[in-house]
Amino acid sequence: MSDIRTLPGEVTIYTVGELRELCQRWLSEAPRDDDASCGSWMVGAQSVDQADAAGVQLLLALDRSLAAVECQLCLQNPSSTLKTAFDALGLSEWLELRTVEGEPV
Amino acid sequence: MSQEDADRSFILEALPAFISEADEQLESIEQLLLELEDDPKNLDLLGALFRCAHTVKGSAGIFGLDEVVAFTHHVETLLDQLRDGLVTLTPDMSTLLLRCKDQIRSLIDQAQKGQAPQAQSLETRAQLERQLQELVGETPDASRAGQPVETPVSADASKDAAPGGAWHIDVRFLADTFRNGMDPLAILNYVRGMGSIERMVCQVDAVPALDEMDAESCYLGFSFDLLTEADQETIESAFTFVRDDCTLAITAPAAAPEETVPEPSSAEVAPSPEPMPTAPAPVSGSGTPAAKADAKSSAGGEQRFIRVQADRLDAVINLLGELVIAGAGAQMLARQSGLGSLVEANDQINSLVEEIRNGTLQLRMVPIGETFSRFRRVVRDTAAELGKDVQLEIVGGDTELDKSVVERIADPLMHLVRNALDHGLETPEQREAVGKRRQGRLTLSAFHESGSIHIRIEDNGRGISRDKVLNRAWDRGFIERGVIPADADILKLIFEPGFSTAAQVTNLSGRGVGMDVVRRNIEALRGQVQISSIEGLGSTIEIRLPLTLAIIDGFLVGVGDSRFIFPLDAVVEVIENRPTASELDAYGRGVVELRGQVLPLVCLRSLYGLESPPPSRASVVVIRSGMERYGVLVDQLMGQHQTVIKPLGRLFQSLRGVSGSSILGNGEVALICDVASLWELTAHPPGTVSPGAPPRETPPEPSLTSPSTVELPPSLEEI
Repeated sequence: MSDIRTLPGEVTIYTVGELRELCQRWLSEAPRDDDASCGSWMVGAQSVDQADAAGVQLLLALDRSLAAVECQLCLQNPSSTLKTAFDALGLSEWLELRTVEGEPV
Repeated sequence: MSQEDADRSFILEALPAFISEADEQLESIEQLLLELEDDPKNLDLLGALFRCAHTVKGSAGIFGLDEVVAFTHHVETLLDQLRDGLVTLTPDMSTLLLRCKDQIRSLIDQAQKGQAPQAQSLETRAQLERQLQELVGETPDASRAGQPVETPVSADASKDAAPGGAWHIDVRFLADTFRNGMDPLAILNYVRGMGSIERMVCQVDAVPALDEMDAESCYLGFSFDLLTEADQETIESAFTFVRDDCTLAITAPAAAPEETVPEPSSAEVAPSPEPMPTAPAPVSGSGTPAAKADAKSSAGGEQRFIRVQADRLDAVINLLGELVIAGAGAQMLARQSGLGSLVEANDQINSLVEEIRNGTLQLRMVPIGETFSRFRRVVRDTAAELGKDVQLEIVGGDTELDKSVVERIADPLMHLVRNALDHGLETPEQREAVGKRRQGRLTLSAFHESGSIHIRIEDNGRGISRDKVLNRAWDRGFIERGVIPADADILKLIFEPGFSTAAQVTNLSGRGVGMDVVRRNIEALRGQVQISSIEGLGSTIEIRLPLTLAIIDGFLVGVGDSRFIFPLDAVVEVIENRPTASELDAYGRGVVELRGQVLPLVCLRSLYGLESPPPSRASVVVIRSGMERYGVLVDQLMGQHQTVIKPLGRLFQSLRGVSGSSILGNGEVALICDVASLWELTAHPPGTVSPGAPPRETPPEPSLTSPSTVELPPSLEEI
């Protein structure tokens, strides 16, 4: 399990359907190597260059699903687009608590 | 100053639109309340009800109609509790809310006329407010103390307190927000452009886990302070496109201090277990004139509809009529010229004109259901007043007809409905005594047939007693004592003027309208009314009306030099070039064989005494009128014709069998035949007397609006 989970470039209403399926698939898989590095569940967020409220909401739902199994969502190197979207929705603190900065594995 | 003048001028211009919209909203409130009586817990209906009241309040606030705002606020508070399930709608509550709706209408009327409220009206309003407050658990005094601050506060706040203040905004987006192409992120960014957003809290408590969520549904809500100099209207405008997709509460700065922000102000995601507070605080919240989600249908509706003044539409239709006539003239000249290309071009133009005609006339078509729905309240209140249990059924409410016809048919319909309630249907005890269900049934139905609309008012009451009608007719000298006309003619007697007397006035149907006036009003619309009744089982009144009063598709025929037009929908078939029927009576009546069946025939030449010599061969136009079919003998069949209906001059208005005239392309006038009355005419030609015909010296007939005279058919009023 070497490949890192990575959010696609577009996290918007146009992609949330597929993205939800992708996340569910991730959830059904075994923990990956990089998860251990922060003690939780890692998703690369550096490539996101389009985000809207639907995309942000999907990440909130992912977080909720992980919390149910006592995992913590970690968004690795969130792009400025994603940060701006979270900020505009009053969720900058939420994102900050789940951000891991560093080299992608 | 100039700004104030501009505002005043805007309000003067926009007030009629508000009043019209408020009327529609109030109408909806009434209909919703009546629907809720059958299904008091229907959340969709309760939500719609709240939105209607809220829209009226919000719009009234814009126009500074403080009394409307203040009163509607009380109504809205109760509706809010109903919507939230805190209170359950009872029949008494429904009655109270219906009275409140009447009160709001009366307040709007007063505002429109600039009248001061009368003492009685003030007393009624205060009483209604007290009842509303008791229902929502407010103490009247406390509320009253807050009242002067309430709505004016919000109105003032938007003007005075706003500059520099912090508005508090709660918005909960509904599930379809994303699907409708809206993005809360973009809306918040837009709001941010008005000033500065502080203490933003994203309400994420409703966001489910991945496996439970529909990724395209929105579960988000936001609560924040907005520091801006913008007024409330401007802030609300940011949410215009999501009005149907969100619940919105805006609290003015003046009221903000402590009470306004009850939400957790922690910057961490606030997993508030509570839904967004709909009324943030007793004082400020209750005064919130905000535009909740309620946006009502109008928000969405305004996207889809354009309000156009009826007279502008009439002007277009009049011009269209002239265009049709001019087009016919041009087409005729083109044919005479023999130039194929010119004929072709003209045909194309005429075909386009026809499409425009159909499209334009369609603009005036409205469903009759709106008129029918008004009767729900009439039936409810009237039945309650009479101690009767009546179920109203509406069938075919989506049947469309010309708006001008709808407007003019409402009064006759109202009278017929009241008559049926008052005289036709029995009390539950009476019904039970004759073995009927306790609940009576009144059915209003509408359908299209042969280019006409048929409206039927049917009850399963006691029906009409022929004996009573006959006795009355004999007593009043309409027919000679002892003479018994045919059954159908007996029933027609009730439509004769002067048939009933003022002695039978009741509070309900005694509105100065006799059945003769009902008939006359229907006939003025080129319509007809028929009645059938089975004693003990009920009565049916059927009204047949033309779909439009403007332009129809006609079938043009010639008799000598005269031209006649039949409505195309009434023409079943034509039989061309048959030898002229020789066996016609003096009135031009005869019979013809059609596929082995006997078809009654009428010759227009003989009927109207046209002097041209009959041709050796003629054609028969087979006409359908209701259940009847008959043939009309004519000289020439001239084909389909777009017929612009022109009224007949006063001199010709008494002409039987003809309902209007039309100008042909060559400038000639053609008479438009009324197929039903033409059939009548063949049964009772000029010079003969119909069995039920009243004496000529009948008293002057009252008009529909006559306030004092009341005429009721005795047959319908028997107990």
